[in-house]
Amino acid sequence: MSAILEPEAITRSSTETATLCTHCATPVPAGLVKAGTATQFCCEGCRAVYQTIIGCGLAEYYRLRALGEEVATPVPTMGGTFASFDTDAFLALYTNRVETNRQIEFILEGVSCGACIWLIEKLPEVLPGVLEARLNLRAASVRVTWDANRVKLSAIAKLLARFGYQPHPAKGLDKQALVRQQERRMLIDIGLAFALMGNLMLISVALYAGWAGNMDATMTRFFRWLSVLLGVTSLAVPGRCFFINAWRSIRNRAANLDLPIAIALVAGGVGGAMNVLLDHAETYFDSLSMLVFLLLVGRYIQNRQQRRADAAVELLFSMMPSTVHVERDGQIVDLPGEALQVDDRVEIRSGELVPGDGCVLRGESTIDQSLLTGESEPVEITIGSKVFGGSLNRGRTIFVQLSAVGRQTRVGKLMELVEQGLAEKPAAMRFADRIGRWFIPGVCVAAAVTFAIWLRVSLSVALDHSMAMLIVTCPCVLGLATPLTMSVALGQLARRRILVKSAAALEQLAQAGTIAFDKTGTLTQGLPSVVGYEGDTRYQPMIAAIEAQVEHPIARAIARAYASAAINPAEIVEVTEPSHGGVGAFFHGQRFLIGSAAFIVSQQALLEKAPDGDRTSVFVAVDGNVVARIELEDQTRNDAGEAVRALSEMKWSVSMLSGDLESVAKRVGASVGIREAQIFAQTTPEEKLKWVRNSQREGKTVVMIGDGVNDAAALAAADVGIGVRGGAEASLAAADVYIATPGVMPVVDLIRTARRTMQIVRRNFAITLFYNVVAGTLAISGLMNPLVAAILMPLSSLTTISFATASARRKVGA
Amino acid sequence: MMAMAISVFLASLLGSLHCAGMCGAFLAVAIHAPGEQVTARWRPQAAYHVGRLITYASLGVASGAAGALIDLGSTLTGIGPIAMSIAGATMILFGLMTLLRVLGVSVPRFRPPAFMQSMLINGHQFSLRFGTTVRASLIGLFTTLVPCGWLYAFAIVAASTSSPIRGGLVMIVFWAGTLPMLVALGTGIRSLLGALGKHMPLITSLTVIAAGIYTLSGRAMMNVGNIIARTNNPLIQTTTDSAADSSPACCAKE
Repeated sequence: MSAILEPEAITRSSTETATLCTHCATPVPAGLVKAGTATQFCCEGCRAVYQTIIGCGLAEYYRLRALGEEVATPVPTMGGTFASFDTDAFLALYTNRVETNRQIEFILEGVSCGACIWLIEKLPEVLPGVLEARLNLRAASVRVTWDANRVKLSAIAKLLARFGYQPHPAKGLDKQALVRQQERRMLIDIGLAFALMGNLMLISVALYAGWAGNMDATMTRFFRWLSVLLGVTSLAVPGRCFFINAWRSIRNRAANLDLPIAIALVAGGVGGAMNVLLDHAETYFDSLSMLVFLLLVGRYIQNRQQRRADAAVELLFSMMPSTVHVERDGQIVDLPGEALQVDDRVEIRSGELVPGDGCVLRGESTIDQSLLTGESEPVEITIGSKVFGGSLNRGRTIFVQLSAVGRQTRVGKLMELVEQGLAEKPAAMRFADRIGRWFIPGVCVAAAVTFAIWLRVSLSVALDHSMAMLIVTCPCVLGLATPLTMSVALGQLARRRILVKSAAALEQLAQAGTIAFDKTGTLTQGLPSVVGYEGDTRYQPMIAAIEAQVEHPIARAIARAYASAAINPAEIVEVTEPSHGGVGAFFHGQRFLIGSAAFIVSQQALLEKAPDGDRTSVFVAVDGNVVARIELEDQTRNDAGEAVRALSEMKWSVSMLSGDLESVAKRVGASVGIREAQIFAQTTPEEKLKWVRNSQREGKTVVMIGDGVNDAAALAAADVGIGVRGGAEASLAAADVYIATPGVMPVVDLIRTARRTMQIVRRNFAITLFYNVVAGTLAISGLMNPLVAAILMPLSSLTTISFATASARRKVGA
Repeated sequence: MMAMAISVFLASLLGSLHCAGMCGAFLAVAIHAPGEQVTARWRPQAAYHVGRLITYASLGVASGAAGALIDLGSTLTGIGPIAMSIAGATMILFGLMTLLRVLGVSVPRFRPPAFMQSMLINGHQFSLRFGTTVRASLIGLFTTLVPCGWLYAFAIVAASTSSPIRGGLVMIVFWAGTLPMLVALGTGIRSLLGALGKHMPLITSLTVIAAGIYTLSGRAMMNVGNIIARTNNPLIQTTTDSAADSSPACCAKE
């Protein structure tokens, strides 16, 4: 930076008669000129300012000053009218057409509690033309559907702003920036609260000292009035959020935590001001300002913690890329994901997520669409192949024409299913809501009782103790910690690619019951693999080379098992698949036939030994003679045995329901450790459903784990249905949980998470109950001071929130 | 007090040429950060000056309180109120040092503590995260951290009042004196400086020396008042006088 400035300084020094200050360009006193130094300063102030400007990376200031550049022209701002919301450009960019109506999603500032839902969802009643307003409290967003012929969007936005929720169109909005903005405002409030508190403390010290040392009466009065001024400023400026929220809760007739705090602050403020006016007793404002400061600090930390937890949940919704490379006028430009439209052509580079559903126009690659299909193997794609949003391009760059974007994509619909599930409240949350409704009024009554009891001693004592009561009691766990714990658990599971549609499923999974696995694709791989070879091994490279040219799971398994570089694929000629069940080819003049017994026989090859057992046999014939037999089997998953063991240890009764032959089912069941009595073979989908219902009649929690499509009925009927393969949409439509991670252990992971989550919920209930009883008793008996209360209350909130978010940090099983 | 206020205002107005040169950069950044588009200019201007006003007034109150504390301490030890004398002497010393530098004599510099500089940089970096108005007010608040001799000379004047309220008032008047020049900054500091600019260091040093002598003379007159008071009731009157009449003679009750 200094290199930019040095020539300027030197030029000035040489062209002017006096040495000029590098910063302010006034002459530097001769005694301050430093020979050989590029930067010269007329005083320490200029040096400090110069260092600050450079330190802030604003060296450009000096260049601009020298150039005398004019300031850029102003840009229009939105102001409070929201007139721009009615323009066609805005509507096209931020709103969707839903039948004959329009829909928009706003991110709202100032959404803080459940009571906001009541107010915001009243929009259709308040403003004719608004058809629906649904608030997502966690995301602080509202989805508004309105009839554009009856009401303008600007009117809706204006009303939301008047309610106290500044609306921002969700699309294209950097939510993080909004969060940062709110955080900054809070920090400024905290800073201001601190400054006011510090000044009030100084005044209080002066007053106390004054009383001891006979301070002049005029000075004492002045200090008391000054403390009123600063105290009221503290309540009105940094402390305003408590009053705003309390006012909202009164308007909505749904008490929230800020109501008792606001009552306490008003009571203290009025009491203090009265004392000043009547010129007796304490002013309270020093305590009140400290209270505001401590409460704000507590709230700030609490918000940060909560946001961290929310971030874990939001991962669920981050399956689309934030930036996309779109073709516009023949050029590839980078745009935010929200700007995509149907028919857009996008470039998807290696390692990038597919931004929408569409069709490959150019390029060949492999993509991982395990999230949607549960298929762990990447899929080959070429021109004309369909790709889906949320898939990961693992190969080369491809160009895709989009046919669906945003919520219309498969993954978008999937997210909607999960969102709907999250909106359903499990029993624990409903219980918390019920108690929460009575908690605040209860606290206010308790404070009134405290006040009445202590009024016999004095007004100031009564005020102190009732303030302590109002502040110290905290229903945090009810309003915040329970849903937070659930959300964190769901977000954490989503991060491990376990999508849970309903929070209620966690409650069910926390208690042991009966768990039934489907066999194929659940306990087993669902794909055949080679387990035996009988015959001449010299043919293995040729067999692999021939099978490599066939698109069939069995052929792929064989090609994988005996893959060799010894054979050049060009040496394999005349590959034919005369009928289903096998393949024929020539290698150095020898005719190879590879396929099932029926295929071999149909090709007039000599088959001496027919297949037996429960394994799949593939025969190899060379020039009409069978030379080898390959045995394949759908192998059990590596972690199946460990998972069954873990579930049994957690007191779950593990069963297996299979449509296969009894011998196959028993072999698989035995290999993973399921008791023979719990293995049910040759069961039809109807029988599976019946089994689920019978088990439920025994009063057990029944969990069914299976393929999302074949076992749909049983999955839907079970208390908790877990889909492990097939389309995620199909799984989540029928089941409550979809596991996109291969293996069986994720089921154990899910159950452990559910158990721990419910443990945390119960623990938080216990802590809150204990805390409130103890703190309330101390307050009513006069042993609690409002300042201690102000420290204890955020501490209790933080404890419960820390417990809630602890699950996000701790690894399952750790 | 009125005479003192007028003197402070005129001195501040005169010296604000220096303020404009030094703090113009802050004002520029406050109003618009590089590459930022400007909306209404009056609002950040006002925010910047309100920010300055708050911390200047606070500095004045603190200096006045410090002066009062010094007086209280010195009175309790039997020396009598000395804040005004110290203030006057400090100002003369400060002015003389500046004058010597103008004359080419190398005088040791007072280096402000490093934490002040880092606070200033951190504070400005912090303020750059905000929108124009908030940023301007924060930069205004942080301006007091600049180790500006001119600003602190007036803080010493504020201390010499030995009263937080009067100290605060001195700094408010000082702030008011700097306003015209800083508001008119858009016209360009160089043209404002004109022929006067070359002699700014000399003018400021002489002004500070004059203010120091003026303060000292006030103290002297004040001391006469105190002596008279002491002859009446040495024990009580000294304390009362120091609280009620700790203003320079020019604004002392006749």
